[in-house]
Amino acid sequence: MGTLLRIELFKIATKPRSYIGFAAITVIVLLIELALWLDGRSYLEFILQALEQSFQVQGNLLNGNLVSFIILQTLIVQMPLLVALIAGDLVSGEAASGTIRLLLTQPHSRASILWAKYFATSIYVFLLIFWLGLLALGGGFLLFGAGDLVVLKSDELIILKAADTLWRFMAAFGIAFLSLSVVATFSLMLSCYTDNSIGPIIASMAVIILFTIIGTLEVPLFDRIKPFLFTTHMIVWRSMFDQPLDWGAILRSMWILVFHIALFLGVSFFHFTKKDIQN
Amino acid sequence: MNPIVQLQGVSKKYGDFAAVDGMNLQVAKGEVFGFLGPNGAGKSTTLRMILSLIKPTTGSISLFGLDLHQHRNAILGRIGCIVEKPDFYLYLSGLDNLRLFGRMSHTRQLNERIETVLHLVGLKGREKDRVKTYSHGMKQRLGLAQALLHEPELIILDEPSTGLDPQGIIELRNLILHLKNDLGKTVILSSHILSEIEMIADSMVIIHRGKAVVQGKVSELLSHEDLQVDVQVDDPAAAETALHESRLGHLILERIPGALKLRCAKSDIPQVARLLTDKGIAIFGLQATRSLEDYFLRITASPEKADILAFK
Repeated sequence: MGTLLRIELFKIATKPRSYIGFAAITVIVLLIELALWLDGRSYLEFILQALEQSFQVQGNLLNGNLVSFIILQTLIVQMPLLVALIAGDLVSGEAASGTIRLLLTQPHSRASILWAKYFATSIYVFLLIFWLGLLALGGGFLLFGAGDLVVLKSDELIILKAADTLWRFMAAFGIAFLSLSVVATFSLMLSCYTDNSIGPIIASMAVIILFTIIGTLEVPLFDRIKPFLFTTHMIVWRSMFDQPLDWGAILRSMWILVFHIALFLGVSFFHFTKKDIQN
Repeated sequence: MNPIVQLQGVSKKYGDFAAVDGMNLQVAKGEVFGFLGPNGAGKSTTLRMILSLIKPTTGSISLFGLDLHQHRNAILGRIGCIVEKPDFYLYLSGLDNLRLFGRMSHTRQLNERIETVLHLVGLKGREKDRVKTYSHGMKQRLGLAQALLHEPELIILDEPSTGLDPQGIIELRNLILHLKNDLGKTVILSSHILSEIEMIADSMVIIHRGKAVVQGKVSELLSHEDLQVDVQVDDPAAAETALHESRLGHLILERIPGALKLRCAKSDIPQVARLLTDKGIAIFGLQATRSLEDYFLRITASPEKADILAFK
């Protein structure tokens, strides 16, 4: 398994498309940080204008914590596409290029080959999240300094002490990793069913957009479906910035995400280990 | 016979369609085995079943005396192959591709082996270039290098001469004979170039409509076959008349400008030559061609005839 994993990581590392995600994150995070650095005061005034009618706001609100929170909230929507770009190509890309014939005639079980692909993608997803965290937190604190985090929700205002934020960010990144792992396994599953590398990427994004729309619309019929959609639970990272924390809801959502990962992996293994290689 | 590959009653069905239907096959250790069949005959499906890329619907496949289903990984470790066409990771160099597959196949002394196979297939000097810059012939050579890297006992080559230039085809032929004669390897070779099979294969199978219609030693199968002989003469019309008068007219296939085409046994050729010379007809050339092509076309055109010819 170690050899196979190293080979899969080597393939990801040498494939140019693997760097699209890192480049996109770098550009977007730096743009957001630059924009907030240049024009953050007016942005903050716009956000807080409703609050200032009832509260007197004092202190450095535009700090590294807030900037990181804004970045996380903005980028987490785009991250599934970056993950699907790699995971959707894992098996179908090999089929499309014909290398799957060579790969599956090596003395390794199909299951171990798929495990290696799954673990390699998980490492890739982890590195994407790590890079996002490093740029957001590192850049944020470097440019804007530390301070309390003000989280403005539709029905409440939460103020978190500066010392109470770092572990919450770590936990949020951890949950984001779990959420993106669902996307990765979903794309991997689709990738096992086709010989076209673009199809699973587009299909993954189409399903995520569809589920997100269903999750957003306030229609009674959809309310019954929402708890079963993985996209509903992918945004649970936000709950890490609630006060007090609803650990019951957070853990339930995390279990549902883990269940989806297991389900998508199970289907992937079932199909991949039985699949006839015709192309 | 000590079969290294054995298929018993192997079938592959897609709904009602049988791509391979009750295939029985034996490949002996140390021989070059030719795999022939028209497009869609089931050749590729059979090779893929031997390599466990496709699961048979029924029947059993064993290699090296081991059941493929139960000992898949151990068996695949002893096989090198090119299936259909040699596809590699285009964004990697030839060398990186070889390293990658060498590690997967647990090749010992990998760097030395890579050097050896690169020299063997004539790719030395281009191994650091990305595969996307390779011509089809170079990819074919890289495919061969990959197939030989881990010193397999059985080498399965599906249309290996495709894309090679004439010099490359000769080198490939020599390489296959070297693998068999000097290294004692068993080679299964699928090719649409029948003369290749005739020149290097010890045994062969002809597959048609999913069935092995003929299987046996190439020399035995073809010894039953007539040759096609082009007799280049100064007066083809006179030569035709002379053969008819001598009751050898049945040998004539057709008269073409400057020559007669005959179908005859090898032993008939001296008699024909003597007759024409005695009749004062000048012979400029006698070219005997064969035969596997005719044989192949005849078998695949009417496979029921094949039962008579089969060596099973």
